[in-house]
Amino acid sequence: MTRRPSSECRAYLERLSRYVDGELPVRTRKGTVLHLQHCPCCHDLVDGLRKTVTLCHAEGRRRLPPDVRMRAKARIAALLAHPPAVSRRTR
Amino acid sequence: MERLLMRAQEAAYRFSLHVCGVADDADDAMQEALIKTYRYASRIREPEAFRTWLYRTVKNACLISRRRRVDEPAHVLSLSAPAPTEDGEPRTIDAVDPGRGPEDAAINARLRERLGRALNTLPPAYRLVIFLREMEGLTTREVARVVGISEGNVKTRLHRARLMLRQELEQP
Repeated sequence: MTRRPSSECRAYLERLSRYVDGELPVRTRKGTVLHLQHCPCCHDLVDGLRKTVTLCHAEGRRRLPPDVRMRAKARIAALLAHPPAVSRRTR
Repeated sequence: MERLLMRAQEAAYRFSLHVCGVADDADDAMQEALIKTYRYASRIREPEAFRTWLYRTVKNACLISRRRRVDEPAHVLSLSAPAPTEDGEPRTIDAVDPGRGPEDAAINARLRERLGRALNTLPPAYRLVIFLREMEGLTTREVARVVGISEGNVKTRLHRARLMLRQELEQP
């Protein structure tokens, strides 16, 4: 991204993240949509925010690496084979 | 039961890597989460209560592991590789839209590595919120309970963290 945000755009910064989440009240949302139609800078920013969120979601859905998963399974098997005494206090 | 125990370990692993940035501690945190979940399992009634309990437990397990360490690394490790690669080349975001296609194809190794580096630039409090909300999919209310702050503060941190993260990811 090469466009620099104007002072008007800076006022929109956090609002745009809420816009991506669909959290803005109707009136504020309408004003934001109007701004986005005329502001390539904020339009890019919204696009970037959406990609950032999608990237984080995808990362969160990744499975464990095979070696880590194997160790995790082995730990579960060992635990279930020889369960420790369950104490009353869990925290 | 096995599924629950695996889920607890998965959460502990991801937390270690993404929030604490210490891969070596992941096994300790996973073991801790495993035992505590096993002991807690019989008390599980509501899924939401379990999720907040699990992430609080994982957070504490990771913090304990960190305190045990003398030489805590300064940087979060790569999300994709055992060790970070430093080739000195400027990194650019691939022209891949992570919102399209199968997720494994959309998010490639370089992008994950960049995400790991970008996460490391966030203040820890922001990194924690991004991790819980965006990566683990907790609700705002659940994040507030895990972190111990108000829902309003969760949202503020989340939105600021996203902006910072995006800025880092778009650095040439």
